[in-house]
Amino acid sequence: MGSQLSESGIVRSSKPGGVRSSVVRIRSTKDFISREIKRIRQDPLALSGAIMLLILVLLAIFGPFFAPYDPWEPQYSETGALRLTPPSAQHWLGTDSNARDILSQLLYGSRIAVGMSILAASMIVFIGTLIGLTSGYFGGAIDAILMRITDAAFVIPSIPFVAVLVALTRPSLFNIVFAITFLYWRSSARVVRGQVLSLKERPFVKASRASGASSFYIIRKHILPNVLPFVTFYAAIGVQGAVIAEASVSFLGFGDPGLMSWGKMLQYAFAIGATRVAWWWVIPPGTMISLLVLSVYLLRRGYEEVVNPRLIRGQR
Amino acid sequence: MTRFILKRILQGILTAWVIVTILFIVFRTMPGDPTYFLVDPELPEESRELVRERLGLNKPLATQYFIYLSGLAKGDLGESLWYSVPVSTIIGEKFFNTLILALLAFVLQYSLGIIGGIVWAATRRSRFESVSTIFALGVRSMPQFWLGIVMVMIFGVALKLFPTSGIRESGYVANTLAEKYLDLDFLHHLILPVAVLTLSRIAIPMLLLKDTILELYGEDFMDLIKAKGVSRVKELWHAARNAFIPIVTTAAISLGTALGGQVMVEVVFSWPGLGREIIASVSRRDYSMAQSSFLLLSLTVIGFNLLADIAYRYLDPRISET
Repeated sequence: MGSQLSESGIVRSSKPGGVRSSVVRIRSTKDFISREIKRIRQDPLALSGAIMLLILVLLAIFGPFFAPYDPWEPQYSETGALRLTPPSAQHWLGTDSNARDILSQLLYGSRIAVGMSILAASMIVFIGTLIGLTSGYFGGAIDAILMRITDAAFVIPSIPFVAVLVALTRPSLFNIVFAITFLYWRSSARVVRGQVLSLKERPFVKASRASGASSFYIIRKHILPNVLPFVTFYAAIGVQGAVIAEASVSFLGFGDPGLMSWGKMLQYAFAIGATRVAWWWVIPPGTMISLLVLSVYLLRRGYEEVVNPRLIRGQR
Repeated sequence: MTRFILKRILQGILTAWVIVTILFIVFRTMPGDPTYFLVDPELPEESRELVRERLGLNKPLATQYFIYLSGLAKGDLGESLWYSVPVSTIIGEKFFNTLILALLAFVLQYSLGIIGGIVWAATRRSRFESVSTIFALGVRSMPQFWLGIVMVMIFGVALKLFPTSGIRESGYVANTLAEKYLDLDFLHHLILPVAVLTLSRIAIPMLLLKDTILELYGEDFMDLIKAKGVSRVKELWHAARNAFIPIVTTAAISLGTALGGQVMVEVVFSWPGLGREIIASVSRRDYSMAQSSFLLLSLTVIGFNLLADIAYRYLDPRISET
C-alpha cells in the first residue's frame, strides 16, 4: 500500500509511494532535541500547544493534591445527599448522580489520561521502531513476514478491536494500554521501515559500512538519530490515539472499574441518562480530553514538514 | 494495470484470511463462557454441557476452526447465540444501516470540506488563518461520542429539533425497503448522527486543502501564473487543482478509518448498525454475531483501501508496488 497516513489524516505524502527521506542529516540525539526546541519556539501554534500540554502535565502531577474532595465520596448537606447539583460555591463543577464532586473527579482523571497516554505512546513507539528498524535494515524474509502482519493490523478497525480485546479480558488499565499498543504500533513500524530503507542508501551510511562498522553501530549512531523525527511524530499520534481509545473504551463500559477516568465520568452520565440535562457533568471531562488531544495537534502541526519534507520555498 | 489490480485483490484476500484467523483466536480462546446467557444457572451442569455440544463448542479448537472456515466459504456465518437466528439473516440490515451513515457523512465531509478548504486558503497566512486553524483542530480533537452527546443535549433536548436516538420511532412497522428508508421519520433520525460524523472529521480535508494550497503558492509555477496577471480567484483555482491529489489519495483511507470510529456514534445514538452490534454482541458473549460483524467491518475497510490503492495507481502510475 503506497500512501502513508496517520489515523488523524492530516499527514500528506509529498512523494508517491511513501516518505521522502529527510534532506537534513541529523547527527545525534542532542542535535535532534535542539532542532526541535528551536522549531517549537519559532512557531506560535506549536508554542501554544507546548504550553497547553505542560499545563496538563502539571495538572496531572499536582492536580489531585488540590482536589477539594474525595472523588469517590458522596457529598451531603443538611437536607441529604447532593445528587446532580449544578455548579455552586462549595462544588465548582457541581456533583454527579452519586453526589460526588465533579471537579475532584476531573483532577484525578487527569492523572490517568496523561499517565496512560504517555505510557501507551512509549510502548507503541518502542515496538514500532524495533519492528521498523529490524524490518528495514535486515530486509529479506523477516521484512516480508513483518510487513504482512503490519498490513493485516492496518485494516482492523482500531476502537472496536481495542474494545473487544478489553471486553473479553479483565477490564483493567493495563489491559487497555496493552490492547491499544497491540494495534497502534503499525503506523510507526511502517514509516520507520521506509525511512531506514532510504537511509541505508545514503552516502554516510555506506561509508560507515565500507569502513567495517558493525550493524549495531550503524543502527545506533547513524540510523537511529535520523528516525527520531518519525518516532516522535508517531509518539505524538500515539498519545492522541491512546487518550481517545481509553475514553472510548471506558465510555462503552469496559473501563477499569477502580479508576475515575474522564471517559468513565462520561459513561456514568450517559448510562444514567443525565447527559440530557447535566451539562456541568458532561462538558468538563470532554473538554479536558479535547484540550489534551488539541495540544498535541498543535505541537505536531509544523512537524509534517520535517516528516514529509517538501522543499518549502517562498512561504509567506 | 490489470495485473496490479489482481495482485492487490489477492493480497486483500490473504489479509482477510489473516484477520479471520485472528478474530477466531480472539473470540474462541478468550475467557468467558458463551453459554452463560443461554442456560439458567439453576440448571445442572449437564444441561450446560448439552448446549455446548449442540453448539459444537466442546470439539477441539482446530476442528472448530475448520468448521468455521468451511462455513464461511459457503456463506454460512453460524447462528447467533443471542437472537437464535442465522447471523446472515440479520447482519445484512445492520451492515446497510452502518453504510448509510458512513457514506453520507463521507460525501458531506469531502464536498463541504473541499469547498471550505479552498475558501479558507483564500484568507492567506493571516491572523485569522492561525486562529481558525486552532479552532478547526479543536473540533477535530473532540471525542466523537462526546460531540454526539453535546449535540443531542443542544439540538435534541434543549431545542427539541431532532430525535435523540434510534433509527425511527419505536412501534413503527416497516417491512419493505422503501418503508424503512424512504421515510421522513428516518431522515429526521438520520440528521444528528450524520452531522456529528461530518463535523468531527470535516477538518481533515479542509486543513489538508488549505495547507497544500498555501504551500503551493510558493512554488515556481505559481510565480508564472501571477506574472500572467490573472485574478486572485484564478490564481487560487490553479493552486487548488494541484492540491487535489493528496485529497484523493487520503479520502478512501479516511473512509476506512471513519468506519472504525463510527462505533461510538452508533452507540450514542442507538443506531442499529454493525458497530453497535459488535459491542452489544461482545457483552453478551454472542460469538458468532460479534465475529461476523467484526469481520464484515474489517472486510469493508479492506475493500475501501483496495479502491484507494487502485485509484492512486490510476492517478499516478509512478508509485512502486510495495
